[in-house]
Amino acid sequence: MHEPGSRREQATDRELIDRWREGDEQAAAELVGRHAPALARFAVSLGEWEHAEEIVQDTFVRAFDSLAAFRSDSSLRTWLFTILRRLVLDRRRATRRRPEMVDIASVEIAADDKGSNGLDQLVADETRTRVMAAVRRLSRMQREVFTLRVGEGLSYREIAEIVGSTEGAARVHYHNAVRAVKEALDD
Amino acid sequence: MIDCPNGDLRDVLPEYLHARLEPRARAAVAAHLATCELCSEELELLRAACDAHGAMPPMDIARIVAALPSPPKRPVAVRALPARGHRAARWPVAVAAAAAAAALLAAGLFDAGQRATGAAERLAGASGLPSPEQPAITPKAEEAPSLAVVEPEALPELAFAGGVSDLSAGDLEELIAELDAIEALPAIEPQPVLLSLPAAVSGDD
Repeated sequence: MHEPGSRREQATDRELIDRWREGDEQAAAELVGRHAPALARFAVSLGEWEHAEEIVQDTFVRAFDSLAAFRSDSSLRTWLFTILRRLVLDRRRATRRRPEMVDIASVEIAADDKGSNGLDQLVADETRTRVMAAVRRLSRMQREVFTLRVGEGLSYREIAEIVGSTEGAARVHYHNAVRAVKEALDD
Repeated sequence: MIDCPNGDLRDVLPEYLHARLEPRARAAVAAHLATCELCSEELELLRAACDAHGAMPPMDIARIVAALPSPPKRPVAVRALPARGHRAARWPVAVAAAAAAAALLAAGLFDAGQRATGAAERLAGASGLPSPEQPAITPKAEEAPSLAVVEPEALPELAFAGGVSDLSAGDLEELIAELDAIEALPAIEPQPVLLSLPAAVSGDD
């Protein structure tokens, strides 16, 4: 899952933040458009399908209210993920609500339309369904680390910053998660 | 269940999946995948998880943007007076001119313009402000002039002892003409103009 936005001619996150501070509201729209999809996917992975947009909106509002606290030594996306995760945890503590794990079969999934025939698509859909069912059975930390590593391609350092852990612990969680998913598929 | 013993290569399969490896590393992983069924199966498992992770509800980006706070107000930049020995600063004249402009605005006679000259000097004398010959602010000798950022709300109120009512009709007309030459001040919000001198004011030349 590779996000566009890394082309040389596009403004960097830092440049957009500086432009917004100087009054360019369009810069804010660019930042939202660039990072909202990844944040929404992460919110869904945390079991917040129904409230994903609300959570993403709250994340951006908090982020823009606190841009002065944003350190450039971490990427903006990592920082946004950290804010979103804390928001989700705070909401759960406030409502004492369990995460709503979405039935992946009822969700429209982007299909690989490069030369796949109907049978291949069915097999791929079945595999995805079984994999996600196995991911849902992971512990909360394993699921978050696995999702951030596999779904967003984040490094162990970035994951550690988001979940409040260490790189070594993130690596252990990831490989334990992979093993658990494989075992579930073998059942 | 058996894992490939090459833990380092398994560790970078997510980067390979997201095309974030350097060309040489990517080629090495591709070469290994061509011969290792265990890693190929693990990569397909990761790919399935990544594809499923792509599911997300519709996002109304415009609504999210509309909920964002406005950008911070741009601060008003005020240049500090030059150090000792320089010719008299024009800041007190500009302050006096702005005070005159505010007074005329209140009287309904204000008309924005360019740089002020003698009119500001007369008003400076009437209001008790230091005259241009006596710079109101002189930085300490060891301090280099710097660009001070001053928020309008932080400026104390200016006491205006005199008034345009003390001027004759001829002086008033002359003042109006000279106010046309007032240089445009930094843009600030349309609020009641409250200008004053900073607390530490020392006359020095």
